[in-house]
Parts: sequence; C-alpha cells; structure tokens
Amino acid sequence: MLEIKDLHAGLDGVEILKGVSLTVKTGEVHSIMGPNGHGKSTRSKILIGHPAYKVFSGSVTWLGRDLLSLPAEERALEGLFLAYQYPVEIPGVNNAEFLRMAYNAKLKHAGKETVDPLDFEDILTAKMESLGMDSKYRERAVNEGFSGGEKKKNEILQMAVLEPKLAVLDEIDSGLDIDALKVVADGVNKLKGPDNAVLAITHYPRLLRYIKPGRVHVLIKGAIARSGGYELAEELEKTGYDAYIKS
Amino acid sequence: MTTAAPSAESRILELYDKFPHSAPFRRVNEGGATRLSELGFPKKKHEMFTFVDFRGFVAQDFQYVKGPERPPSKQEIKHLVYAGCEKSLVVMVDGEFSAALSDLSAHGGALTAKALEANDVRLSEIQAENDVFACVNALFLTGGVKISTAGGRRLDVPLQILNLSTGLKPAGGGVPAYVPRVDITTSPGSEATVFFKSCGLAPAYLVDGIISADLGEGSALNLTMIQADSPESYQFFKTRGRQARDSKLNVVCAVGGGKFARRHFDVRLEGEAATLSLLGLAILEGAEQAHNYVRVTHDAQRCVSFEHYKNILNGRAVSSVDTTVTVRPGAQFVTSRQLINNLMFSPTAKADSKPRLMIHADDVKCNHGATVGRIDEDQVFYLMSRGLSEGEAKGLIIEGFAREILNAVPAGPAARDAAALLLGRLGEGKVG
Repeated sequence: MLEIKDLHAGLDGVEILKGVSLTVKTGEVHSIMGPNGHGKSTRSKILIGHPAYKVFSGSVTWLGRDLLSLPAEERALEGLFLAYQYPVEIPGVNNAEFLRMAYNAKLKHAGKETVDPLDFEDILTAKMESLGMDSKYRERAVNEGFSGGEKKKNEILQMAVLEPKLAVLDEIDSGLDIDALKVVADGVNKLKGPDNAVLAITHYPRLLRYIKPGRVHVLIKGAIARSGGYELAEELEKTGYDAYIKS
Repeated sequence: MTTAAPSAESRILELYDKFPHSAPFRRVNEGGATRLSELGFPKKKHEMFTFVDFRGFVAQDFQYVKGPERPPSKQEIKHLVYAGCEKSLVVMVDGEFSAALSDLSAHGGALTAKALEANDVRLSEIQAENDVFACVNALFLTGGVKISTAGGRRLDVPLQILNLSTGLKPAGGGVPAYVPRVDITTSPGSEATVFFKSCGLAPAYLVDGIISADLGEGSALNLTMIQADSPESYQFFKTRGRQARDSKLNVVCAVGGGKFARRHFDVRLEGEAATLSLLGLAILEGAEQAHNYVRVTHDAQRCVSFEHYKNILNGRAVSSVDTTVTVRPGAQFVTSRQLINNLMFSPTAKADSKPRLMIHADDVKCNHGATVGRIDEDQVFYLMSRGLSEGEAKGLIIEGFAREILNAVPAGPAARDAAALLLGRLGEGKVG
C-alpha cells in the first residue's frame, strides 16, 4: 500500500528526515515512536502533501503511484487521511456541512453518486452513535472553541466518516484524558480491517495498548533506529529514548 | 452638491429653498437647515467622516423628491415581501409611508403603524444632531412612519418594513433623493422581530434615512437590516437607539448592494441591565464603499454591549468601522466587546478599523480588537487534506466567515434572502 524509500525531507531548507524507509501493507497497524523534534510529524506532513515541507530525495509509492506527485486533495481522495496533532479552527464552517462536502468529494472521485444532506445526516448520526459522540460535533463550526480533546475526537469522527485506506494519526493521543483516549482508540479499532492500514505516530505507548500495532518503529534524528513488534513499545516505556539518542 | 465639498451645503440649501415643503413639517425642516448651516458639509478631516471618500458623491446632481410620483401597486411589490409577512408589513415608498400598501392585520392591535406627525419629531433632537446627513433628513422631511408595539407580549409574526426607492427621474432631471424616517417604540415587556429591507426599482438614487428605536423597560427588538439596493445607489442611514432598563436590542446589518453605504449607529443604554448586540456584514467589490460609524454610550450599571463587524473586500472597495463605546461615570459592572474582522482579496481594497473605548467607571469589563488579513492558508490546507479542491476550500472558509454574522438573522425567509444576497456575491466569483 505505502512504500517509503530513503526519504530525505525537511522544512525551510533544514533536513529533518534523513533517509527514512518504511513499508505498510493493507491490514497492518504500524506505530512510529520517538522523542520530540526527531521528525515524526514531518513525516506525516510530507505524506499528506503540506506545501511548506519539501522532499529533497527519495520516493513514496502509494497504491502503485508516485504519492509525491499528487496534490494534497488527490491524496485524500485516494484514501489517505491525516489526523492532525493540532487541528485548525475554521469559524463559521459547520462541521456536518464540511464533512458532507468531503464525503461527497470522495464519492464523486470514485465515480459514485453523491448523497443529499438528509441521507448524509443518517450516515453521520450512525458514525457518531458508534463512537458515542455528542451531537454538538454536528452543529458546531469546525474545531472552533473545541478543547484539545474535543478536537482530537473530531479528527476521529472525520476519519470514521471518510473511511480512509491509510489513516496517519499524528500524536492523536497527546492531551487526551482517559475517556477521550478510549473514544479515539475505539474509533481507530473500528476502522481497522483487511482493506486498510493505520500509522500511529506517538510518544507514549498508552494508545498502543488499545490499538495493538503489529509493527513499531523508533524514529531518532530523522531515521528509523529500530523496528520490532508491539513488545518494542513496552520496552520503550521502561527504557525511554535516551539510549537511542546517545548512540 | 455640484463639484466641490465647500459648495455642497449651499447647494443643499438651494435645493431646500425650491423644495415643496409640507407645511406641518416646516418647523422640522427649518431646524434641519439651521443645524446644517452650523455643521457645514463634512470636509476631509472631519472626525466623523475620516474614512469616507465623498469625491464621487458630491459630483452627483441629487434632487430631493417629495414622495413617489406614481406609487407601485401591491402586485408590483409582491415579490419583495417575505412569505409570512404579508399581513405584517409596513411599506415606505420614496421616503413616504404608504398606508395603502401596508398591512398589519396579523397583529390585531398589538402592533400599529401610523404616519409620522411633525410633533413626533423633537426639535431638541435636531438641534443636538452631530451628523450632517441626519440634518439633511430633517431638512426635507415631509412624513415617515411611527410604529409601536402595545402590551407586554411577544409578537408572533415578524414585521417587515420595506423601504422601496422607485428611482424615478425627477421632472427637472438629476438623481432622486429620498428621506425616509422610521420611528419604532416598543412597549414595556414586548418583543418584536423586524426585518428592514431596503431596495430600489431603478439603478441610481440617494437614500438619507433615519431609524429611531425607543425600547421600553424589559422589551426586546430584533432588527435585521438588509441592504439590497441598486448598484448605483447611495445610502446614508442614522439609527438612534434608546434603551430602558432590562431592554434588549439586537441588530444585524447586512450590506449586499449599493455603491456607497454609510450607517451611523448612536445607541444609549440608559436603563440598568440593558443589552445591545450590533452585528454587521458587508461584501464589497469594484469601487463600492461601506462605512459604519458607531457610538454606544453606557449610562447605567450592569449593561452589556457587543459589536462584531465583518467585511469582505475585493477590487478597490473601501470599508470602515469607526466605533467608540463610552462608559459614563457610575455605569459600573458594564461588559463591552468590540470586534472587527476584515478579509481582503485585493491589494487595492482598503479597510479601516477603529475600535475605541472611553471608560469613566472603574469596575467594568471592556475589550476591543480588529483584524485585517487574507484567507488563512492553514485553514485552506486542512480542508484540502480532506479532499476538497482549493476553490472549494476557500469558498467554504469565506462563506463561514460571512455565516458568523448571517447566522444571527432569525431563521426564515429574511435569513434566506440575506444569505442569498450576500453569499450570491461570492458565488458569482466577483468577490474572493
């Protein structure tokens, strides 16, 4: 599904990713762990196509296509989803209306019939009920006035509605209380299936306890220092990142 | 008003001499003339008109007109009346109240409208007037309408005030000018929703109007002003508000038409715990101008005022919001907020924002702020990363910017009209 080969990339001319390689197959759940400032979020921004982040060399293949040649909206339409670490607030734009537009854009891209507001209402209600989410998420403007936890839950709602092929979760667990963490983890677990994949970027293993990634990678100084199974996340909780940073 | 500002007041007084005055209003007209002579036509550095470009305005050959030559029929204005307001309608044509076109049968006496009489206009009000265009209204005033609620209950049906300008060319040529005046009085405990729609049947005219809102104790007035005027029209409107104890005045002002619009709000919160909400939205293109000059005075304790103005500008459009909230000595525990947001789409558009506070009490919560900027690229990218095109993302953000104000219009046909009028300008691809 996704193949990253020797990726060098950064921001404002500064190289942050220094030769990252990673392969994600359908049905897999991966986690990238690492301390702050070592390139975890840069990787997510590169994948989604943020214009401020530049690729210096390397390649990213997505479903057999050159991902880096696709504009951001096409990446999303092709099934790539980024749950942001800091979702932006968009005053006045109704959350449900925005989600319907995004949902219909995806249907249209796939050559399918779009849904009218009433039909979408049913789809949204079903998703919100399955996640145990309050109706306020439907009525309010996109992320406006949301607490940190509410914003993260709203990202998960969007993910649930858009049903991506690959969900990249950028520190989705930061700033969450236990209840919100369960909602987020529940949303990820409901998405998981044989036809899609999840890439969870995090500092802490606590989210991983719920979503149980099959592969864990440690990102240090812009490169993957070690990969392993879920037990690597448990090990990191005991040992921390110090040994990797110093080596 | 021929070519240069210095001669403008003499030109107005010349028109005044020729005007077919209505005898009962002569006293009012003379009061206006006296005050106009004292104030003079605004020069460029006049504090009240700092941001207003009068160059196009003074070149116009305006001719003040006394009522319509041929009033339209009910059938002709039918399409301008909101569904549900057919029996809750006050019509002004070319500045004059039309009892024949108005219908208040939905209210059974709980709301009345009658022709304004000269005695309804206080001379002291004209003598103290500081806005030259409000003086000009008094100068040519021959009538108007006086609307009152009776009893202390909420009116079930919203009232529509249709301010229609026929724009018919005066016999002697020139551009017709009208001076509508609407006085609204709410009785204690009553609540009314009013949609004031201003529109025209011809491209060019001038409206120099006054709205006076006198709110009784514990009453509420929800006033939506929708400016759907013709593309070459000029609009001056002064709204005077006086609020008694526990009254609520909620104003939404949507400017979506006309070449030039200047709105002056002068609201006094005289009674304790009165609240005022003043929201405005203008979407401008070409060389259009929209100006808001706002003065809010807190005379009493525990009052609240909230102002939020938003402007979307393209081309060489010009907007200004010049607002001052004054908290008088002794008006403790006042809460006040002023916010102005300008969204710019052209390097040649201009937005001036001047939110100010004058506080003479020591236990108040007041803040003010203004922003001027382009569309937020992070917001655009966020939406694009969900599959929307750049155009769709920007359209949604701009609409959202406008919706924050439009959503305050009470739901129904007026809200739909305001949204269609203003958001339609975005959809046409002219703005944004």
